[in-house]
Amino acid sequence: MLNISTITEHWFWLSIIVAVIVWYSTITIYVSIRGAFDIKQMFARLGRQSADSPNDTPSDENPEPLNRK
Amino acid sequence: MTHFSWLIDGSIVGLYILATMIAGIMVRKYVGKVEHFIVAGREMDVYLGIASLAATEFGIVTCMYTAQAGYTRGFSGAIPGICMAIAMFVVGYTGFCVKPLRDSGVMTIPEMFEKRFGKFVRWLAGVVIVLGGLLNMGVFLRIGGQFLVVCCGMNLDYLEIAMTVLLVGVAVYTILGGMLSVLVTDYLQFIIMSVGLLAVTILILYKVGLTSLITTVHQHFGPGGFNPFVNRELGWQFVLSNLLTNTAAVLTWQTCIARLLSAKDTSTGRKVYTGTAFFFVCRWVIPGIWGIAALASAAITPDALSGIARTMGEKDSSLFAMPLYLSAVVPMGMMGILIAAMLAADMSTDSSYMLTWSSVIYNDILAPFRRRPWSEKKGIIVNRFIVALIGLFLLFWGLWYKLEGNVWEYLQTTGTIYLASMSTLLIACCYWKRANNWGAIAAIVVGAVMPVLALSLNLFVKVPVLDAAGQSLIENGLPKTAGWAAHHIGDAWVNIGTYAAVAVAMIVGSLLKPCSAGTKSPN
Repeated sequence: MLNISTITEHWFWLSIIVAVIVWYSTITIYVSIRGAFDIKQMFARLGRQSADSPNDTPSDENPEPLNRK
Repeated sequence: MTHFSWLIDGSIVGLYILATMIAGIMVRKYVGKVEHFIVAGREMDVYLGIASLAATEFGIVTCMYTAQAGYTRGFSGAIPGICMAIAMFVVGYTGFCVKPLRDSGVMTIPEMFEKRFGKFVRWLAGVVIVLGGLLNMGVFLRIGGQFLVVCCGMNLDYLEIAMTVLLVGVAVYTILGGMLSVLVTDYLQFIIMSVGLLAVTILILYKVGLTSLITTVHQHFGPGGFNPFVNRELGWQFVLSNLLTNTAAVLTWQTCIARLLSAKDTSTGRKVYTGTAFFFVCRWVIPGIWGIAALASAAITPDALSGIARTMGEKDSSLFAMPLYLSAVVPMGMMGILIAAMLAADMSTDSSYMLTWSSVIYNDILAPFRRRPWSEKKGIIVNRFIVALIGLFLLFWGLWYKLEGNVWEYLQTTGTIYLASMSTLLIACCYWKRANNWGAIAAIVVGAVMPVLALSLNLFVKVPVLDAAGQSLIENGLPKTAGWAAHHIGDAWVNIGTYAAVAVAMIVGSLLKPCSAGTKSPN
């Protein structure tokens, strides 16, 4: 068991460890759920794009990078 | 004696690999353009971005060096993670450099440099980014394989075969699906990796206890195990060096920037940064706890570690403390989850590193010198070919190169080959109107020469390590040696010196060139 002197002396690292466990557990669950929706929507948008555009146009990388958003 | 069971744990691992491969290969049908292959068609949203960035930035190599830091430096070893978290949060929150970068619509950083500094600077920037990145990731595979050998008790003779199979698996889905495969597999790998990391950490905290961890650090390192500023080996220069490296990494590290540039808009990219920032504390603290637990264990003796290091042909035995400890404490069943988690971590890192560095080769080393644009189909084929070549390089460099000393310092030095110059160029490109190609070229050359010189001196010029009485220290029956630069200058000072010299080179070079009316700012 942790005693009071250990807690007061090493509060910084103890709070970091607790924060790491709590934050990481929470974010894992949250990102797992919301990330699945992101994937679904991403492929829906890509599917729509590929249906709208021809396949073998010249690659559009770089000649005017600052104008492309 | 490892608790890995090929039937139970092997099945868990096999199932995971199969699921990842299927998911990675299935998305290949959405790759119709180079933009899909390199930046996922810029359709990545916040939570997928967080999962992908976190999974990419945690590989077995990360786990090994962060645990090594815990084993050799106590809690102070986790300081780089705190530096990175602060840097990422501040950059994401303020939009410093990343806002103009994402707004510019480029696919890689050097592409942005072309408008301001010209074609040659774009090409040169691409070359140093690839040089630094490939040297950096060259050690990933070997260290990952060593973890598996020690943790699973796998026969060392199978190390190369296991590494090759793992890399081929990763290469197949990366080559076929590019960034889209990387994002989807990263998402799965984030879940598996996080479950494994948390489960093992809770098990260790339950078995060892926080008090025992703190007492162990006290016994071995005194106050320096908790506070890097009073640690004789580290000191303020270590903290400053890490702040510089990590800020530069947040601004220009290919795998981080690839997420920013794949985001569906600037605001999403910044949210990915702020949302992932604290993960970098977890990334150092969790394996750090594992390393400290290994230090607290009576079963992990220096002799046992030296024996493993000798067998592996490595000089630094502290790297093997954590996997040896895990092989003894993690029970059957959970061992499968741990190995699946570590493979998930490694696969996501390898795939993303191969893809993001290949995109620089394609976009900035090859593209500026093409007379006519390639068709989308040809562009994708070239990208796939480059990913395959990087995979081959990883395999051969990983087998050949033997690390000496601390892994994190090696990664920091190789990363600095481009981190120092690219971060300086990016800041100057975004915020200093007087910056020009003279300054940019001077900064790139200085930024590459200093770390390469330090690495070469470490590799080829050895000095004996002496004790307080001036006697040569003996390790594994031989006089202990260190690299010249590491011994006489110190890795932290090499880094700090490089950043300072690069900034001076950028300023002096830019001021030396006469002003021209054509100088433009990307803002």
